[in-house]
Amino acid sequence: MLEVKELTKQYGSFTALDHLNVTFDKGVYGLLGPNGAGKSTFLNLITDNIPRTGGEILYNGKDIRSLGARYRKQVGYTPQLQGMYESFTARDFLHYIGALKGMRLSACRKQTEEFLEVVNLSKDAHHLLGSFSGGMKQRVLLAAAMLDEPEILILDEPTVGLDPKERIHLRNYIASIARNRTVLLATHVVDDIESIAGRVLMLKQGRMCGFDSPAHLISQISGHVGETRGSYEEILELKQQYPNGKLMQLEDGFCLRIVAQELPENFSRVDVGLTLEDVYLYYAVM
Amino acid sequence: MKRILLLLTLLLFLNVTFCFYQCNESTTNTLEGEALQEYLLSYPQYLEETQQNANRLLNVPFYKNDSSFAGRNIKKTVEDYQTLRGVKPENGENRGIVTFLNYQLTDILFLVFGASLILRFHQEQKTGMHLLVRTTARGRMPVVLARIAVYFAGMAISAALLYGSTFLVVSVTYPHAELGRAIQSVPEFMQCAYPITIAEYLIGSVCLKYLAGLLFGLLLFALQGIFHSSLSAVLLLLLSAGEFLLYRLLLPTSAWAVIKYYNLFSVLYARDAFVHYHNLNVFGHPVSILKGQMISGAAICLILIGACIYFYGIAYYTRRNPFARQGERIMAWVSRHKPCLPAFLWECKKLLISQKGLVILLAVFYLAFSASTELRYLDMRNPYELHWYEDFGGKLDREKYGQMTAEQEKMQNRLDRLYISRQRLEQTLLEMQAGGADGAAIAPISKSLSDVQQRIDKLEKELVGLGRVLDNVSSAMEYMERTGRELAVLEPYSYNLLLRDDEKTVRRNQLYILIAVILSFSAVMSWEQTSHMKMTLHTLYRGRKRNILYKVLLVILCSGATAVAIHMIQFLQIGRSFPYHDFDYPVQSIECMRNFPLSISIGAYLILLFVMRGLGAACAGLCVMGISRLSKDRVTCIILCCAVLLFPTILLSVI
Repeated sequence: MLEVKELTKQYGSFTALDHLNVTFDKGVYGLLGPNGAGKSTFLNLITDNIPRTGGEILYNGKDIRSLGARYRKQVGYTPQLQGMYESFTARDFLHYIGALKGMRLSACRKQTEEFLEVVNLSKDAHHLLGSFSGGMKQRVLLAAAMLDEPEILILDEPTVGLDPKERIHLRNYIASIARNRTVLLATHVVDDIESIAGRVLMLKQGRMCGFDSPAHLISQISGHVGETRGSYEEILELKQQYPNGKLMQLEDGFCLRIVAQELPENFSRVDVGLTLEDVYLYYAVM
Repeated sequence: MKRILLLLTLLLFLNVTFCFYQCNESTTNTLEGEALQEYLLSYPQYLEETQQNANRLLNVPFYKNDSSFAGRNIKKTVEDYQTLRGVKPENGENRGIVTFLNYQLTDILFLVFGASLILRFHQEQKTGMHLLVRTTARGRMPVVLARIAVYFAGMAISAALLYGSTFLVVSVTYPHAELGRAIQSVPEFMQCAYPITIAEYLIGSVCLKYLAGLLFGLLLFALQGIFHSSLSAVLLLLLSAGEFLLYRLLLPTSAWAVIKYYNLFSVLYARDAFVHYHNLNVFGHPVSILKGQMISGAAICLILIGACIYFYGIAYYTRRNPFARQGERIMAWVSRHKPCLPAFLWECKKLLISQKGLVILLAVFYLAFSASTELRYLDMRNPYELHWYEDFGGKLDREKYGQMTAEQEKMQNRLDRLYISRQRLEQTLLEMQAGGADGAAIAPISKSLSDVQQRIDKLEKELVGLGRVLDNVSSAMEYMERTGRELAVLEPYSYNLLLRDDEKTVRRNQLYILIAVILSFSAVMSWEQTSHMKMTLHTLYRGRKRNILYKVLLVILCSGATAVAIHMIQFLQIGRSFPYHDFDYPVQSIECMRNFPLSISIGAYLILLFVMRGLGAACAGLCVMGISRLSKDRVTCIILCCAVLLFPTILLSVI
């Protein structure tokens, strides 16, 4: 169990994370928030990559600082920036990460092959990472994070660059392994979180603005989503008033869907088919 | 452009620095003094004999046949040597010219610059800019032609600067070389069959080197046009290695001599074309090395330009490597069966293979080795002195010292008696000449006088030798009495050279080590930054202290080993010329080591010296590692290391 108590991070006078309190048990947790909300800072803090200004991060009741390498032994991390040695082959890279995770050589070898299979890269494992596409690199990083079967899996934008088939395959896999570990999933692909996350942590300007199941979060914005239809020119004019509105092309014209505290008169309320994307927009705009 | 200028400045700086160290007074590279005079006097005779030999062979039926290579070759030899009839070699300073001839570092740096220039053209391929460039109206043929022109101009400028700087250093170090003299004035060019001056040779050799630089770069450019990948650089390296081996291993008399001389390295070194007289069999016709190299080089140059235009301007598309399928299978098999390495060995692989550390260390070692073997140590030993070291070598005590002084006294007495005999004989001779004695009567006296004079000369030299040995021994005795330590009498030449006289080589080696360390370890920490791996490593179990510890250990081991290996070249080279003796004697027995505070043997001191040199290099390696940690990439780290470590070291050694 990972507990975050009164976690604060300041860069000079700027507060990136403000007295955050949250507890993560086993299962998949989504981390949502607009750019600059403090997601990356939060992940860097719980991976002990940057020093915190205040608060505590406890793993099974002990501060992760005092646990040091013992805590890191339980962490698998996929960074947002695709960091890897381009002159290594995929298999070499996983062996290297395994060695730095302190794995036994035989276990490292076995798990490398296993996870290469999971991320569908067995046939390309002897190729240099420099020749890989963004999606392939992402899958290698995911496999690297899963090596040694860590208790806590921290995935920062893990499905970026993947085609829909791969994305669905991987998120199903993540859901399957999350039964006996904590998975923290930070992404802008709201669909991924909606599909597999048990709970979603919403961040805005360094503060927690929601921490609940997707269904409950969606129910909370009922009455705040509205739509209007019209010609292209009419919709375009309205779009200027609601820059965060979502423009959609329909068979018989155009539609603008907005999320707002108070819906304008010319917008009809939408209660069916709300998604986590609407929740994201709601918190991003409000 | 900035990077290229920076690189050129760095190469120029390295060239000048190492050339300065190459001009070493402790060593020699050509004939000097009497030996040179002898060569100059014998040169007309050499020409005459060569002509006579050729004429004699022309009378042999086998060589009379005009349609055979042998016959044509002899005729050509006669004609070539006839042009040298008016050539008069003159005495002068030749060491600078020979240093210019033998100094290979400039050639290597010249090729490095050429390869860097071509690789810069391919930067845009990495960023994907080449696709944008190729869609513009003038993005194909004009770009290729412009790049070839830039390469030609860039190489011309770098040739002028690099070879010009080498010439400047050797001219300053060995002034008054008189470039208007015939090139045959330099003994190394005895076989040169061109009636040219030293200045003309210098211009000609730089032109040949320029041609080699063009061939090298254009080949890389064409290969890049075919493969668009690092495979081209690998192929170029393999081709160059093959060419180098053929150049070094093929004998001049071999049937394959054409490959030896029409070779990139033969053209680059511009040595064979001027130093050796050799006509190659080209379809039965004798062709001189220089002419052959110029014609074949220019032809290949044109072919390569055509290839570049074709592959970049006309048929540009990514080709599949012809060996890809087989290579892929092998790579897949190797990858599956490769053992899983422990973390330390992964760090080794990163440093030595991925960051090219091993290639850099080996290349610098080769440069240091070839720079050392270009020269040989001057034998300054006095045979009369050596003789006394042999006689009285071993543990020193008052008794031995007494024996030596007694021997000196005895010899001095003998010399005094010989002086008296000489005086008497001279007196007798004068009296006989005054008395009008005839030659027959004077002859025995003259002979006796000459014998006595010879004995005096020999004895004087022996006494001088013994005097020098006694000077050394007296100071050793005084030291023994003062400190109570035991010393020994031993021949000190090799140790003096190693520990005192050949400091220039030590400094040069230190610079080589520093450069090796900077280039090899500049990416040891910054690589994590450029690969964006820093954060990931920090989240791993052994990704922090242990990882750094492994890197530190590796840097220490590699730097130390490199330093010992490079300094060992000098140690072995001196030992080969002047063998080391008596490693078991106290190190204070060597005069220049009298003030060394520890009571250890010479062998132990040498081990300590090499360990300290290794540790010094390890410290430099750790500094580079620290700078690498602060740098955002390898180039920045190299620039910072040059500013913080290399330049101050050079300044200190010059001051």
